Amino acid sequence: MRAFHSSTTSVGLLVLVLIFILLIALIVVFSHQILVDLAQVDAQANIVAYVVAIAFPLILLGLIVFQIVRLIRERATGKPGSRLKSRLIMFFVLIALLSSIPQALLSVNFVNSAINFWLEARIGEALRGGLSISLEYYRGTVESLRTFNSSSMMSFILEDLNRNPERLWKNVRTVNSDIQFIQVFDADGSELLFRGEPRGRLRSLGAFDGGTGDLPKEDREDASILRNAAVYELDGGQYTVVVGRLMPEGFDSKASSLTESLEIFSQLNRYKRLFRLVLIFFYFFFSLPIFLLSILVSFLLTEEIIRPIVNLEDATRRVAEGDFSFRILSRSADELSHLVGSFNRMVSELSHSREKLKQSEKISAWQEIAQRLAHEIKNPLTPIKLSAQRILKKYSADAEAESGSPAGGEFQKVLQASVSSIVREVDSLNDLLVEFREFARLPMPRLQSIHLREPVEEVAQMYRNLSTEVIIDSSHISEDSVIRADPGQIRQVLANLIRNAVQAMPKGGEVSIRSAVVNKGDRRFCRIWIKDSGAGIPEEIRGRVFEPYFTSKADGAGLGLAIVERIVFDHDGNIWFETQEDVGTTFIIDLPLGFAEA
Amino acid sequence: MVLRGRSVSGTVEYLDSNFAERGVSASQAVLASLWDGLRAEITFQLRLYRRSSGVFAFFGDRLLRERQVYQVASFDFYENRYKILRDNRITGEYAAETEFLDAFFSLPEIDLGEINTGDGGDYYLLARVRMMPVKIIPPLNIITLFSTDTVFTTPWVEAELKP
Repeated sequence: MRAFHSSTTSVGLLVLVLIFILLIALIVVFSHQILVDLAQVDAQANIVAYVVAIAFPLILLGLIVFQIVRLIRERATGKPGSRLKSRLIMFFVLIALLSSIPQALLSVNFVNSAINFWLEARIGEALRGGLSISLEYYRGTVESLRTFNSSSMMSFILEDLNRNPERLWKNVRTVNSDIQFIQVFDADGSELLFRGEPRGRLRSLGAFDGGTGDLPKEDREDASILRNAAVYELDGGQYTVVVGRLMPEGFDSKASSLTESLEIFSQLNRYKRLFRLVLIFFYFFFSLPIFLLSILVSFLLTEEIIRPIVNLEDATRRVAEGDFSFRILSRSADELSHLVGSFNRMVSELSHSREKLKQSEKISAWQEIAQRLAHEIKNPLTPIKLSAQRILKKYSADAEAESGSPAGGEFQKVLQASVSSIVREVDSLNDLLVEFREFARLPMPRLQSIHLREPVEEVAQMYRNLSTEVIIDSSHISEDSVIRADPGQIRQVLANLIRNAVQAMPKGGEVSIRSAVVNKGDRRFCRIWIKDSGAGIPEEIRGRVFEPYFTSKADGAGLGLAIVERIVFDHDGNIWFETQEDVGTTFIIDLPLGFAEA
Repeated sequence: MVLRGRSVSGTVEYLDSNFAERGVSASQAVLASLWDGLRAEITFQLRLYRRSSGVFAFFGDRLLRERQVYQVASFDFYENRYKILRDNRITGEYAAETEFLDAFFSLPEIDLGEINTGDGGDYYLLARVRMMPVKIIPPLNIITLFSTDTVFTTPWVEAELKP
């Protein structure tokens, strides 16, 4: 049996989906790579990115062009399904476009709106304003320290350095409450006084020893500290006075955040036209492969969808041409698969009916021949037999009258033997004609539901009585083997097959008869196996076993299996055999199930 | 490029004239960027080669070492100082523009490892500079793929190894 594969399999679709997901993941990873890494420094890496970025869509485009060219060629050559395939692909592409275009328009609009929103002038002004305020605060603080430390008032305040340091600190705070600590060093750099916030204390003047002015801002984890140093001459000595204050907690981090935000804003603002174009370009750059991929997948999906339809169409054409050997194999479980299943059943039934019709026609022809033979041969046989008997009788009477004793000459012996031979052959021909007539007059079955066990047991018992060398096992007839059949004809079938089986084992053996219920499509049958352990059927005659008037036996008419086949067909059943030389033969019969009596 | 014993070191300086050919001053572009609250970046790329001779010349000279040094400059509005960072660490703070620009556009002597001085090989250094007056942070940096006005790269300059 030749067969098409109709495989819209879940595995195939799963593979397609996996490839799709893999490619999408690749695009996402690739886009991330481009966005974050590749654009930074390495020009060679950029070249690789360019090559991959251009090669990937080009490969997809190439595959699509290849598919389109193939489709055009298929249409030109009139390949079945090509028109449907074109329409489906156009449909898929249309759907892809219908979903992509609004999405693209929305995305571009969104990018424009987002950039315009980010770069709104007032946001820039607010950022610059924030920076300006923080700078003013910072510079104001620095200036306050500087002004205080360079003021003439400090000379008077410092007079309390040795006399009353506490008053000195109190005076400092009174004059400028922003100052949070004061530290005084002598000319050697040794600390003479420290009052105020302990975190502001310098271990030494270090590089600023003897210097005047703002000290570099000290950034610590918990605070940043501003200091100003000034040198004073007092009582012949030289003193370095450091005043300072801690910036408010979080000032540095907020200032840093403000600076970074301003940097991002300035970058965006400076390159906003380019950035907008690049974003839109990248949107299409990454959307295009996905779109191309969708089209490519639509080609593959279309192929999968139309394959069973094309197979169905091709199989229908072949069936119409008389080839009933085609079947379409489908592993899926969708509607198309059901259609394929129905088609296969239809072809199978058509094939079966066709076979039955052919067989029926053949049998009818043979029946007609048998009828004619019976009619033509039967009529002269009786006169031949009677004439031969009369010749012998007349000659014997005449010879006895002439000689006065019963005829006993050589001629009479020859005559008696010849006439006996004629009579025997005529009787044999008569028997043959009886079989012919039976075959020719085989009536239509009168169907009724019967249990298979009854005819099997009846026939098996008859042959058990006739042959002691052969064991007939009929114990494996299933309980549900109720068939719809003509009991007389089924007995005839069983008798023929069991007789053949017995005759196939002249030295003894075993005939096994068993049955079971089987499903064929949506119908249920009773399957009967009749198995012998004989020599098997020679290969050269296997094809002619069911032909009428074909026999391998010396005394058979060759009608037994022909009658069996005819009866089985008349019962809407089926018969075939399996044989192996020196192992045995099994005849298998499928008969429609009947209805078991309640 | 200098060879001391077996150690090789090199210095690179980016001359403003390389940039000026484009009609703008690199110094002014960098300062304008910093004053606008942005950062500037300069990348020095050095490659130490050994010349191949004979049939091996067909395969090109052998790359022995490659170093890339990134310097990022910013302006601290609070301190009124220019700062230079290398590997995310401040390497210099400058109040004067000229000092800052000199430091930013030049790479101090950098170690390129050791070579086998006794093999009679012929060594040379290739160097180039990639300058971004505005350091563009990811993911905005994708625009550098499409614009020639954001990144300025010099051609490779060759220097012979001097013991």
